[in-house]
Amino acid sequence: MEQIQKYKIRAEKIIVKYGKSIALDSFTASIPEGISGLLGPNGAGKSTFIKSILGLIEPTSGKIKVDGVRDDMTTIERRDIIGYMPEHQCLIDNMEGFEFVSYMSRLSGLPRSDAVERSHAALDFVGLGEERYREISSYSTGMKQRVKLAQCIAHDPEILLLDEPTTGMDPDGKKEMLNLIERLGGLDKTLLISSHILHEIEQVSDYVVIINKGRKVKSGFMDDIMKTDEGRYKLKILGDRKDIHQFIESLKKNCEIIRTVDKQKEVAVVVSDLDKTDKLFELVEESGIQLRYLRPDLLTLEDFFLESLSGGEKSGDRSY
Amino acid sequence: MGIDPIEYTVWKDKKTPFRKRFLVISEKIFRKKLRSKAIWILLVIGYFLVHVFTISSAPFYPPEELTKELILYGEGTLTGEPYLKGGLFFIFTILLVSVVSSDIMSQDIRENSFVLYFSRPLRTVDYISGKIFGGLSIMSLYCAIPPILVGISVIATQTGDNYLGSLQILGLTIVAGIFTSFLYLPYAVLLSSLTERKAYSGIGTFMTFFVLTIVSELFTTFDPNWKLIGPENLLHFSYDVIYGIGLPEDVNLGLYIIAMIALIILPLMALYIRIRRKEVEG
Repeated sequence: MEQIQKYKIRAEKIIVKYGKSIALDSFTASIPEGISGLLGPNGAGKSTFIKSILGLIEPTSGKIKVDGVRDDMTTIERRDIIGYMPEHQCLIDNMEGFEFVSYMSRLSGLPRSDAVERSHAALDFVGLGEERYREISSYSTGMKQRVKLAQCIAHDPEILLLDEPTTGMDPDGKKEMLNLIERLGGLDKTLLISSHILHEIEQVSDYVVIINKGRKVKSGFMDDIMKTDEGRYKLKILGDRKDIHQFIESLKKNCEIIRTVDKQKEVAVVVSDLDKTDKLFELVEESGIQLRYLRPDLLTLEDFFLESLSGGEKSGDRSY
Repeated sequence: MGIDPIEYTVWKDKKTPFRKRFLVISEKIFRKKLRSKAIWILLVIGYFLVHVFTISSAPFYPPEELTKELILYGEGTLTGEPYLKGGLFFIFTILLVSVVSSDIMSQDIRENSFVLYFSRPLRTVDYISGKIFGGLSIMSLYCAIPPILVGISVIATQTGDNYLGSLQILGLTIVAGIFTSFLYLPYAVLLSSLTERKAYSGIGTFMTFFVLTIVSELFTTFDPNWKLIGPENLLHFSYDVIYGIGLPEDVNLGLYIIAMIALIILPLMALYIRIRRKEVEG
């Protein structure tokens, strides 16, 4: 399913160490054109990977290839085609928003007149109006995030690296930021979004890479991840706790239980590898419990993420 | 976002060369510093106390030609006070360098904007060069341009015929002016890169040069080579070298070179290491 020819960034067995701790451990991943999500818990190595792509961190070993997997690019050439939106505060507070974006555009190689024009265009795109003539120190968090995005896109880079782009934004702001990202993804660009917020990645990404403890755990196109898993069902049962427990134990012998959600008398169970539902009905009858509903279950990004972090094991109950 | 959002437009024109992009940083510093009241106050007072009388003296009291003695000691001017080797010229130079460099890098540290510079096609050297050239451009408004104006005003009104000799001195004055603008910047910028607070950086720079001057004065009675730790003396000895006078006999050439390395090369190296580490740490 993976389309090798479309990959824009490829990391091959990169190792990054901070003193004795290993931030990236033989990390291998390929990022295709379009919007990709880099998912992982805090401290997983997401920002380190992004900084490695930018050449801000020099890996101890391994290679990072950018732009159609070109091998001969210097760090400076690589940075020339990348736009970066950092997670943390990095804006120059005593500059006006417009002045800042224009300054950063010129540092990225735009001639003065083009920098002015492009900065206005980028600020228009991110939805920053007259506020662009105010000092950045007076901006709200949402406005600062918009300025960060504007400086990232003003020089029209081919690759955009967005590190936690919705950090600190209110729900409306997050929605608008995701909308902007989706619109950028509709262009001929490669976007890599680092986040630990699953539904945001699920909403905008075409491809996802899951990273944990410096290693790639899983990756894949969203369409493949989200498709219905054959033999995966969600069922809701009602009854005495003893009977429910007996039913779940019997069920474990016939299929894999992905998770159970216990709500007092009612229990929701997600199972996979259930070949025939006939066996399930038999078990229900034997246990003397009520089956309230049974339906095929879609694999969500959250399921994929949690399964990936637990080493891809599907067995074992997990409540959430 | 509205019903009809503004669409993204592409840009595919030719970019500026990598090697020239550091000048964007310099230009930004120059423009920013020209908006600073503190800089203007220092420039106005400095011009009035140090430069104005020397520049305006030539039309009223035309010298025979432009000489190094006139530029360095004010010989043949209306006031007769030392010019480039004057104490006031030095004091305003270190005051200005302290103010100019105070936030030149400390602001980037405080606001973590390093990460934005280095996510762009800029090398550590480009970043440092951009900052130092920016500082240099402001310093030259006080240290280089006025002495050049003095030279031009003297040549324009001189009574003698030795224009070639005057032009030679004017050329050396340009070199001396640029050198003075640069001399204290590496150390001052290094201090700015070590702190988040511009007050620490500015006061630290001024106090370092001031204290070194005092210490130098105190210990010179024991050994004349102690003059070399005084930043004012180093500047004056450098003028002697630039204008071809040569170092005073009681000053050791080797120690002079070591002192200049300590004032220029070592801070630049430390600055490079510091910024390189910040670049990597992010």
